[in-house]
Amino acid sequence: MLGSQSLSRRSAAGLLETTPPPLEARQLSRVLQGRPILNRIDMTIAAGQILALTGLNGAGKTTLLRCLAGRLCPTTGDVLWYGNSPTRRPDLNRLVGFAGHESFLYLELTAMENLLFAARMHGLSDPQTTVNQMLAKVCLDKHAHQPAGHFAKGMRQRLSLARALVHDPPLVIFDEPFSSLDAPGRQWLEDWLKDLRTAGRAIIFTTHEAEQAQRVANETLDLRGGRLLPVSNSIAASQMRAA
Amino acid sequence: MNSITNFARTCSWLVHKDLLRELRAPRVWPTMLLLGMILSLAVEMQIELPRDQKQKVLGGLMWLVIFFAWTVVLNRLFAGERDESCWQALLLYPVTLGMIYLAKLVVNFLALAAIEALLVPALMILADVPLLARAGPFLAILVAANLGLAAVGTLVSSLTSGLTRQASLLVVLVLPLASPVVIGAGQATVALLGGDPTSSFRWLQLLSVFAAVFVGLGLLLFEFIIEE
Repeated sequence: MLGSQSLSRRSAAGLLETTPPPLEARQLSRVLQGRPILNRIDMTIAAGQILALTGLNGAGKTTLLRCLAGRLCPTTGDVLWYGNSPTRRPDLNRLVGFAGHESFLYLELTAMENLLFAARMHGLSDPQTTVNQMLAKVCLDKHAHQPAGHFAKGMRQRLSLARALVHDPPLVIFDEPFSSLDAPGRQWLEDWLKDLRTAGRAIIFTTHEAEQAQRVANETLDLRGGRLLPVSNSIAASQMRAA
Repeated sequence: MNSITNFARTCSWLVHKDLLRELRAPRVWPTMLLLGMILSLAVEMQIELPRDQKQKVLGGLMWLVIFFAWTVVLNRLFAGERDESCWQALLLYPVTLGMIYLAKLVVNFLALAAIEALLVPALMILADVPLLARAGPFLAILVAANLGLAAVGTLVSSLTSGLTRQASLLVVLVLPLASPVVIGAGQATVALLGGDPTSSFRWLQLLSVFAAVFVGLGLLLFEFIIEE
């Protein structure tokens, strides 16, 4: 959700922020190899909201998500998680679940071992129980003892999402989570994202499918020329260019 | 106390993960052990000296064999994390870079210990080198030298892990940096086998200082290397 818009909307509704939003970007810019990718982006995601991010290939969606996930330092501007900068604060990584283009899985290890490793890194008190529940959630409980490298791409994607969410983070950042999933898998993920939203998680994900974004998200933004545009504006702009 | 326990526990799980990966899909350790065995056999067979002199020479040469076999491990120490961008995931966990450095150092240390577990008995049997005649001081030399080599190796391996010509650059950088350890450990072992514990102890002190300096440097520099 665009920061200024969401704030003004909430102010109008008489809502006051008592805690900082889960995710906030202020004047976020990123230059890669001399080319500006992101240009002074302001955005805020509130708890219980899903934001879908669309854009052409190379528009900078992954760069933006990596900045938001604290994995890439902005050239200028700030990223804040609950009001705190994640730079040099690995303890804050507990707040975020990030799944990227690649699976982040150790292919030699089994599904169970991959999730157990992630759960232990997050310092969960009962990793085995949590992992068993998560494997059931992503329908991989029957494949728990198979190496991740033996999985089909869709199964690997499910496991990757489970790895990102094993510690039940309040802020979820997914880069093209629907890719590699078949039709039932996509439906399953849509339902899961909606459940997470109901549970108060703040979610941002990228997709190339506008319809899917509209089905799942509260708001869809299009990344174009390094700026975020509400989808309706973006469509109007492209229509104007076409005309 | 609690934070120290958490630190140690997290490090142990990082080490466990690396060892489990190697166990599931052995890539490095069998090569390393085989190379160590072949090199020690080749060295032992080429040296024609009276028995007592041969024992001393082989005690020193053992460290060269260990060093060359161990360089095989360095290539994969961080390269394994690049598969499926696992390195990115590692940095997304609430772990400090110091924990990651120490865990990799321990894996490196254990790899060296594995080579030694094979080569020490092998040299004792093949060349009749009484390496365990003074087991305590010899064990101290092994620990100090392993720590020094592992500290240097982990640091240099992290430095070159993102480069395309990692293997060649790694050896070029590790050779000069690790040579004080190889020379020191060789001298300490030869002195011990020659019945000169005082000289051996001096070399052991040098090894310990080197190890402490490089472990400290590694902890300090690792964060900057990774950020670069």
